Amino acid sequence: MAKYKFQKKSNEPSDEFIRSKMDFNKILQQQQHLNNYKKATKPLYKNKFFLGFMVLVGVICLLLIFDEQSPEEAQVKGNKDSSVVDSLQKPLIP
Amino acid sequence: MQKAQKDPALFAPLYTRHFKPIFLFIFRRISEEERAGDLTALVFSKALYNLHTYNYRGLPFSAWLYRIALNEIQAHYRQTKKERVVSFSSEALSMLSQDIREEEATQLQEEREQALLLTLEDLSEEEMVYIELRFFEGRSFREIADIQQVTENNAKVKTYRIIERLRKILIRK
Repeated sequence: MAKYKFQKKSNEPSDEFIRSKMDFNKILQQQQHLNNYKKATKPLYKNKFFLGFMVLVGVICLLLIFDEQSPEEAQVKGNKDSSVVDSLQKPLIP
Repeated sequence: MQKAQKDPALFAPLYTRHFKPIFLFIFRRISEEERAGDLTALVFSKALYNLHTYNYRGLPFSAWLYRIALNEIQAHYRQTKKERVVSFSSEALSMLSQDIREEEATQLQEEREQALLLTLEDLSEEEMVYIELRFFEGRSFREIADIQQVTENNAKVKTYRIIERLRKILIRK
């Protein structure tokens, strides 16, 4: 199949016809339609509220991870506390 | 322009000024009046939608519109899968033929032009755009550069390379 269709310049549309095709309201409507379409199909990761929410969730998760103590750590801490208490001199009871 | 970026209603004077040239630009490449009208409307609505991205850096606003129009024409042909229409006047074809002609050519002008049309089939879409803008529409290299978003020198070099390529193909045939 040929790629191009060569044709000698035919009569171009008249000025009246071209003017009849001018409709600025249609342009404004189409632009509004494009705006709405873009808004409706905006990906979630570009939504600043969603992004803020995800950052907040991330921060909370990090806080929980670092704040949580493992059972071994808790045991070591408990032993340390008891040894400190043992090393204290017993008070003299009159 | 800056006012129109804030208030779309102020885009109207730009629309009125550029409508006819853009319509004809599309019509010459589509050859369908109704479709050309629809595509022209689409070009202007896309221009209006993306007006905030347009920065004046020496590039005329019309060149920006022609660029959008070319993209829409390509999209139209991708969708419809029709043959791409190339319109030209007899004088323009004859001028291109003169530019390509090798010194010892013995063919008649008409035969040469027929051979040239067959040769043009070998051009890519981008190369065809350069030929159309330069020879069939008689635009300056400055305008071509603005529309194709290249430097003026680059536009000249590309056009002459295409001419050279056409000459070689013609000789081979």
